[in-house]
Amino acid sequence: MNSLKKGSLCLICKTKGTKKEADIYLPAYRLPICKEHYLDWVVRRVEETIKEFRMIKRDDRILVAVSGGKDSLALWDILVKLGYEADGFYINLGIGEYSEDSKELAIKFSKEINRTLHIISLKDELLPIPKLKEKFNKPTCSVCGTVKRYYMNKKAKELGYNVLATGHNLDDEVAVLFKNVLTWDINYLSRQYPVLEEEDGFVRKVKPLCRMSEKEMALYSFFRGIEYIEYECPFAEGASTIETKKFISALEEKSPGMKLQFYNSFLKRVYPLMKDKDQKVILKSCKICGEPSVNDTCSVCNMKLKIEDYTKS
Amino acid sequence: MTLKVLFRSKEHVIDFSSDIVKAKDILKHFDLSPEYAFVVVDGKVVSEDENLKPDKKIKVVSAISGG
Ligand SMILES: [Zn+2]
Ligand SMILES: [Zn+2]
Repeated sequence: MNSLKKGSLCLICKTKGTKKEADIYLPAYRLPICKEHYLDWVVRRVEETIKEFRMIKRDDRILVAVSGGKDSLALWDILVKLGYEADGFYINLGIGEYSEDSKELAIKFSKEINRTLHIISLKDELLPIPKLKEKFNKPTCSVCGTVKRYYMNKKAKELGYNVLATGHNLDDEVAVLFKNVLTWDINYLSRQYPVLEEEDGFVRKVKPLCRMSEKEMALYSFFRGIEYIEYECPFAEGASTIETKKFISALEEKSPGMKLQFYNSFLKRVYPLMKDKDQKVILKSCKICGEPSVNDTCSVCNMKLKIEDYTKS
Repeated sequence: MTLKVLFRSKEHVIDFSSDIVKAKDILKHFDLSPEYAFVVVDGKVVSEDENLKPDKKIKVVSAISGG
């Protein structure tokens, strides 16, 4: 059985001695489950993940990187439900309608859960993504990633948060793991862990959704009535990550639970062999902004310098 | 049978040659797998074997994202 059969009963209800029709079926867990128990099940699974990897301590102040998508909003919702001190951080990337729509949804959600949402705009800090793409001849998603990581870390520290939480889900982690295994990229593999401790000017980074699949998170958001941005960023459309994910999902369809097993086995068996093997780069402080950097000037300050040159000439 | 389907915030009008259309046929139409997508009818998630009717509000949710 791979999908919900008519008349299936919720297994959790059954263990509690009540009979209720299941709303969905989770093939990886062979679990037919009702909506109410599903919402609770997701929160408990995320809680277990947080505890297992010691991601968050009770007195930590967490900044959730919010994109307006299903994963980050659901993560924020779950952390608040679990009683953590978690606020949101939204970066307006300046990608036209996509950025405006996702910003509105992030603001709306912050009001619903009554938590602070910090907002910065790339057009004030640097340049909007479409302009950056024009000026620097690099793949948009890689520039975007660099810029997002930079401001998330910098602003977390400035605003007094010691943990940065991102909504990376199981499918995100498995897709990256799969690509890194295909190239046996030891340096990346040695850093692919759902918690990266605070060091060298970086705040602690955690991925509490690392064991929840993309569909599980979409179902959570749907049942919770969370309104999120449903269309793809125009620059990510046709991205190679989507192709990788579709390929992996075809395997998962044939053997449910395969993604979870691939990821869990990596963490348990392979990661311990890798973790001390990375070439430790000694990070300096960027001489302009003070953020951790490989070179004297960090990549974002370098971009800034080049942009200033352009505007002068 | 002709069905109106909401997908990624856009309405699609789809003509099917058969009069029996199941949720999984809609997923197939958009080249989606039940492994990462699902169909919502009148606000309720339905099984892939559910027969769809034109008078219902049909929505497709795909969870896959490139971000
Ligand atoms: Zn139940
Ligand atoms: Zn710098």
